[in-house]
Amino acid sequence: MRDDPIAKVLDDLLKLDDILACMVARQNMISVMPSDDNDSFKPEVHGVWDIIHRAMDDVFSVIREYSQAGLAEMEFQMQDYEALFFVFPDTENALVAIVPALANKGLIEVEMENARREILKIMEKPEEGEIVTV
Amino acid sequence: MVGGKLEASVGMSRKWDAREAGKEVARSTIEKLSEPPDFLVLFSTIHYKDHGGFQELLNGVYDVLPEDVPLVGGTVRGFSNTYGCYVRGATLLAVSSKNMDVAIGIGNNTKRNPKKAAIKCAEMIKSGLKNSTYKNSFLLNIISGAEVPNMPPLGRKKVIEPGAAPKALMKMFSFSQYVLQMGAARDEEVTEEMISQLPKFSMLGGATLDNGPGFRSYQFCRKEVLKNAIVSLGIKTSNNLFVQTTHNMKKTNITFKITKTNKDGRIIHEINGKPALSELLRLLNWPKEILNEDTWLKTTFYFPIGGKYNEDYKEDVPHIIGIILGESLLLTYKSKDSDASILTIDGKRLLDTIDFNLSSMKIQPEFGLISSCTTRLETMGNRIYQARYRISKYMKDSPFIVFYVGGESTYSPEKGLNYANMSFNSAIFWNE
Repeated sequence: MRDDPIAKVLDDLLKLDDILACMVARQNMISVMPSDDNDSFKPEVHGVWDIIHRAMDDVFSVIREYSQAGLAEMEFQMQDYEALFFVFPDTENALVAIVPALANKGLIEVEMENARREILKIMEKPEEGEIVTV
Repeated sequence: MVGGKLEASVGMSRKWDAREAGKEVARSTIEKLSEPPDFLVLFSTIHYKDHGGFQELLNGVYDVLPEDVPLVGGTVRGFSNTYGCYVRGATLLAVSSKNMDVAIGIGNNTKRNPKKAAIKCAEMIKSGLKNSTYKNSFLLNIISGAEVPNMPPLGRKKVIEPGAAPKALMKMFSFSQYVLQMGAARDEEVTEEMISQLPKFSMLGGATLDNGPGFRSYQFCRKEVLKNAIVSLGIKTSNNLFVQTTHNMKKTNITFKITKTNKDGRIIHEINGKPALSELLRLLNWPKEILNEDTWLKTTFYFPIGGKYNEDYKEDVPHIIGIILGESLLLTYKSKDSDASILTIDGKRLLDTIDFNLSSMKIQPEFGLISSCTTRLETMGNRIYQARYRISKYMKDSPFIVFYVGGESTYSPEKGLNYANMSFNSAIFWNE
């Protein structure tokens, strides 16, 4: 995973203070994690990760249903955290970030959008952007 | 550069290390120029403070460029440019022209003595451009932005709960403002003095920021990293230019009278003859708990106070509440009009203000600098790309930077000063 260009995009995103965890995922499957897997997630997210992960899977059933109809973004708030889903157009995959519920979401969204665009570019070059199941 | 024409280029870096970012932003900018640049304008997000520091960012730029190329700039909440929209990184504009003279100025201690800072800065510009014969004059003013005051033992907070004696609060605030230089930016006072010193210059201004807390921002001038300063780029040129401010906010049906302020009008003590905070919350029908550090953007910024900046103004201009000091409200400008209102805006109007601004001049731009309120960026989030699309469509392939700041202005001898929050301010240059 260390040389995966998508993981490098996630590494960059995770360096922002308010991104507690991020990944590329689909229903029942995390496709790409940052280079250090979830070791690089911020510590505060570990305690709620299991329940957020389960809720994420339910959101992915909606994404699978409506992605082809142009569903671009989704989000949910759970306890003190928010999960943001930036869907890759016409796929069942999304870039997911867990952020504090009271973070400045406007600023985070700008960098989420940049990461989505960068990952899409990588995915267009199949030899570099093959999504691997972990 | 063909026939002495103007050449402009924008570069960018997303590297985390300050020195590497400085080198990359400089290289990516000048590789598109055929002549050495006459000036540089650098904007960076605050992140480099913890990744090598801003001195290293500037060192990186001057590792690539000769030290005699003048540079001004500062920290911003984000920027959009020829490449995209970003809230992390650095971007640089470089311009070469045979028909241009350039000077830069600095004035320090803007929060303590804005007039003195402006006079010093203006003197440097006047002196640097005294022999220039070009007819068009432009000034880019980058001014230190507002910072959350430091009021021991209360600490650094945007909301100081009512409770402390009002006189004691005002004393603590004055200490923070004048001694520590943490408080109101007073950038409009700096700008007013710049206008009085250089009335024939068209101007574009913006106040520097960090990424949200409002604790520290920086200004750049050549290789110097400054705090609480104005840095200005003065240009005299045969190229044409225009400046324009638009905000497109609409007035709600909430109007009121500002009945008591402090001496300079920046702090509102009473509205409709009642303590200001309680009366404002009553008018807005907001519970007291709604105003706190976490909800700051979606409350005070989304419903700014509208008032005429001076008697010549035809419409209410948006100004946000910077800090709540007990029952008093610290504004980002000095209120000169007792009639006030609450303004608001929706997403469509946020975008339309760009078209209203740029459609006022039908030309083929050579390059553009645009200062826009950070609230516009934070409100639109990833939809800021829609804003960028409209700007790119107007600029065609010409380079531009939109820098997101707090407290924006334009001035021209014909249109006078427009100073506002929540606004979109352009300075567009073109050849004859």
